[in-house]
Amino acid sequence: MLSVRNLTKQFRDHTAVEDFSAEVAAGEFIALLGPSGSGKTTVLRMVAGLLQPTSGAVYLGDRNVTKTRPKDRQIGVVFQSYALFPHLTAGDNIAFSLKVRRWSKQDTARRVDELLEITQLSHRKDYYPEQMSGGERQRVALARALAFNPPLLLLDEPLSALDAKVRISLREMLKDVQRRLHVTAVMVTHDQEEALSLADRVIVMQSGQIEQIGTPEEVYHSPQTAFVSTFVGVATPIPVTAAGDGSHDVRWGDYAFPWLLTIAQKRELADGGTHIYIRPEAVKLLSAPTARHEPKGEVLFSMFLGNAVRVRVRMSDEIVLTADVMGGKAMYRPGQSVFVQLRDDRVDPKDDPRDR
Amino acid sequence: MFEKWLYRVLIGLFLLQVLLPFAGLIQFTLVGGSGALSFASFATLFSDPSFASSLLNSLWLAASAVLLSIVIFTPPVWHAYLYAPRLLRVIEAVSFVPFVVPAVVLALAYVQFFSSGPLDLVGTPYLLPFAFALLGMPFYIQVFLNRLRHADARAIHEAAQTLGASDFQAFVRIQLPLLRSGIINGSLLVFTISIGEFTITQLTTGGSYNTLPLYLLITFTNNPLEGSAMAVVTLFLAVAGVVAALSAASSRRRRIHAVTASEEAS
Ligand SMILES: Nc1ncnc2c1ncn2[C@@H]1O[C@H](COP(=O)(O)OP(=O)(O)OP(=O)(O)O)[C@@H](O)[C@H]1O
Ligand SMILES: [Mg+2]
Repeated sequence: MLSVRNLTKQFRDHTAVEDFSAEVAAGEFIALLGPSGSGKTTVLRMVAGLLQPTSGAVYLGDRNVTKTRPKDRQIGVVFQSYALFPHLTAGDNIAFSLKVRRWSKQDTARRVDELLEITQLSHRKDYYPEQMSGGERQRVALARALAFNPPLLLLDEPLSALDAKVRISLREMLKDVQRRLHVTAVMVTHDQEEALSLADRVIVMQSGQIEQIGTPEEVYHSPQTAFVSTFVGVATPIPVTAAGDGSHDVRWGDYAFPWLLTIAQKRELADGGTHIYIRPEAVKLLSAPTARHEPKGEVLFSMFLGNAVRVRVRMSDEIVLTADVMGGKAMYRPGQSVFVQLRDDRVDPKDDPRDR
Repeated sequence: MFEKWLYRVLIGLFLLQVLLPFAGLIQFTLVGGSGALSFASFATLFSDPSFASSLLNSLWLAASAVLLSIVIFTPPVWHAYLYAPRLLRVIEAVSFVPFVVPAVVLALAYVQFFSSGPLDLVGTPYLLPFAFALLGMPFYIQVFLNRLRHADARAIHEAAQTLGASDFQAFVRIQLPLLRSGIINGSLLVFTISIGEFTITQLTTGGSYNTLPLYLLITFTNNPLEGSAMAVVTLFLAVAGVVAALSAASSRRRRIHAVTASEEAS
């Protein structure tokens, strides 16, 4: 549906996007995830036609649109600041794309009402943007971008200006609308939770380059680079040494854990990598060591997250692990001694003969 | 507590300083030399045909200057703001020249440039709208830029384009209403500057063309009583102009409040 080939954007001496290629299938929801300044907006603007790439091409289907003006690309765009027309009501904002396309009055009115209903805004039709809440403006911006039935929808951090509660409910609406209208969507975000929960596939970017493209599960559980493992989810890097016998077993002090590693991590270690990344849910805290002589740590502090308790555990001067203890009533006091087991749910228990 | 009183006293002094000359002027006009309250000086003023012609002259000059400013300054500033930030810096710097250079110098430059060749326009009023627009340029451009910066104009223009509008459609249907208050407020400044301009008018037309400020000076020298009535009229004109323009600029707001009110009522 959308094919982006070797896009590069150079701003004078600074390369904002470098050799960016991705294929997006019809109906897919893609999240472009990366830290601030990683070039997400720049990619989106080049796809929309608002910015000319230095090199590379954008295809919609098999049509090369690299030189096509934005108005002729038929792409809906939701801007980060919403960019609603302040002198027009919600209804007239939504109708704008239909009026410039010279739709008949009845068709326009019908389409506007339909979109107001989908976005649950029917009661705000005659309101001006400045009379609406942030969440309502966001929905008007979404409805306006969808009005002319674009096959492709681009969203630049559409939810970032909203408070947490509205953000979650709009997230669900966004996903629902996208599915219902069968529109292909590419959404820029720096919120990994948003990316993982909404997208069919996630493109992780850093410094203008793609780090990894994959499903949320792949990106979360099989990060292919050190950057992805720390950026997606919380992960503590711990320095390890390979066993040296070709098994890629990993040692941390005199604690060995062969079962923990993903294939990519093993490959990386074989290539001379020195760290593995431990997610909070992979850390199990015990009050006493078992026969396996788990390493001992000291609780620094604990934080109630609602469904879990997050505990920071100091293992040594350099290593502070983060552990999420699910649904437990257990109390963790600063200074308390705990023993740490590392587990990995993706690994078949057969691989680990010693425990479980 | 003390600071609060000090603050009030300072504000009071400031207001007195601003308002006293006007109060004196009004008092002088109405009471005048005779000692009795009288509107005679107004009657004299309005029966003078050269007052009416100077008023008309000033109005059309100011209106032309405003029109010129809107047509000449708006599109390039808008375009540079959206697409050429470096060009915008140049435009901004250049726009301050008339602000820095004394009016006398500008007038002499005009006289020098237009006094010969195919553009022999010195002595006619046709140069004045251009000169006034030039004088108003720093103010017009700053006010308009200010509006551009606060209106998220670039994202809004891009939104209109992605929705299928041509550049022209997007400019006329979205940008003009969006930036209207900036255009109006900038025009207001050009208008008031034009209405009160004296130096360039005097030097380029050699006093042959009667405008409000020139009329004011002549009458004031001949007959101080009539002159002060003139001043009062000018004052009221200025106030009325400001009010009219401000109300035009805020009309959008009122419409919005009306919608809110009707919604609350139902
Ligand atoms: N018009 C421009 N001129 C020069 N540099 C630019 C321009 N636009 C973006 N950049 C640079 O390109 C890089 C990528 O910017 P971009 O806006 O794409 O980042 P982003 O990933 O969207 O970040 P954020 O999450 O903060 O929005 C940044 O370093 C930015 O400074
Ligand atoms: Mg961005």
